[in-house]
Amino acid sequence: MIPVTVLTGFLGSGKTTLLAHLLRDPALARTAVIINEFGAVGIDHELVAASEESLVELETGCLCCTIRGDLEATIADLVGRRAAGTISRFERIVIETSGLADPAPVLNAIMSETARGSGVQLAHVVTTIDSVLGAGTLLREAQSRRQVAVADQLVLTKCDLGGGDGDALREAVRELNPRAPMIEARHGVVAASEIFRAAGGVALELSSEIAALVADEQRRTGQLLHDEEIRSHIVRRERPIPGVVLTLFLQALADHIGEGLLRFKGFVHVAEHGEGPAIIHGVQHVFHEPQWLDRWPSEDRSTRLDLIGRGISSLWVEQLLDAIQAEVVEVGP
Amino acid sequence: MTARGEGGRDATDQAVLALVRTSLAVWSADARVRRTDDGLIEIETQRGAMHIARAPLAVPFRWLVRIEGRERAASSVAGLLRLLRSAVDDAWRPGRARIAPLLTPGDVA
Repeated sequence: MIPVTVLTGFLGSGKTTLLAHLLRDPALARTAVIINEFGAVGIDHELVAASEESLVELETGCLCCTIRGDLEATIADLVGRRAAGTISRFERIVIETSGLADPAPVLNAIMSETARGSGVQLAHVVTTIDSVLGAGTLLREAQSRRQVAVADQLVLTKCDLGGGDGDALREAVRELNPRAPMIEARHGVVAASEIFRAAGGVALELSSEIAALVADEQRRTGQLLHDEEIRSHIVRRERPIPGVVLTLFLQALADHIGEGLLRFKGFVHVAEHGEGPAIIHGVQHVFHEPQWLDRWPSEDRSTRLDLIGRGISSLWVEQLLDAIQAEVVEVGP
Repeated sequence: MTARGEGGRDATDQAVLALVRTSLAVWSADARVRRTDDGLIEIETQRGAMHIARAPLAVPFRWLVRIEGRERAASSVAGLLRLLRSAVDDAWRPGRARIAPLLTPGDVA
């Protein structure tokens, strides 16, 4: 599978500068780049030195709304040309979204391509945050909060400029996303190895991320009934989950909290499948066909689900899964 | 009824009662929930009372919900929640998306 990295962040937060520096790293030489700009005249692609044949600019619309279909077609086209040998054999795809993009539909588009068998797979989401202006942006702009909430990797940019309230910004970011690693960029420079964490591939990245997330969740206390802020909720089950329980659980999530569910991801130990786990991805009402791993990426065989969204009650989610599981166990095989 | 069935039934009843209580609170429904002596879940709202009962074994449903004198059926906890939410939350519309049954690699082979 070709890993796809989504690089997002609000307008002016330093995405293109970061990407331009990253692509100078020889380790990322085999990278196809898709850049989306919101505006009639795109300039970002001029700032990024990728090979011309594997750099695609999507302009005059925002990736998350008007040209989502273009993104899917572009991914499919890139993969097709790679397979045909008409472009260099890239090893990863980086998608730089416009600063106004809601990341959820972008992730959905990638997962749709995975489901269609295009051979691509969402690897991780990198979000840039302006260390000078970011705190205000997070207060004002809902889209900025969503970009931070779904991130697997956070990059504080412009740290060389000084100014801004760093502590307040970090606190605001951690409220939205308590577990993604946060690194600082100075003059737009961050080591590629810090962003792409090459070892382990997609499954291990997800594994370590969720492990960290679980650990963080366990440190938190109390369960909120109402929570209008964007938060991450972890569901963990040690025993395997029957497939029908998972189906009914996802259906109920889609029915009742789909609108607020920015991202859903995790490993499921499916009772009927004794080998590797199913990796589940979902965004809002849409859950994609699971990807099955041949083996577990670590010793931990538990089901670990991460729900990121607004207005989600952890208590309700836990009780929902408990009730569905109890009903299915009672009925028996 | 087997021992597992009895224990399983109790576990399901408790789990569903807890879920119904929390769901109504999360949906901001002004409701009181209690289990009656005959095992029903009774929900009192300003619109009236609702009752949740187990469906008889002979019918292809799991739950029966009496709302404003009309009886409706649900085949799972997920379906039961849809009935309840429709009854207490005027702004809510059930989504049209349906999650397909999970197929393992063994099923596909």
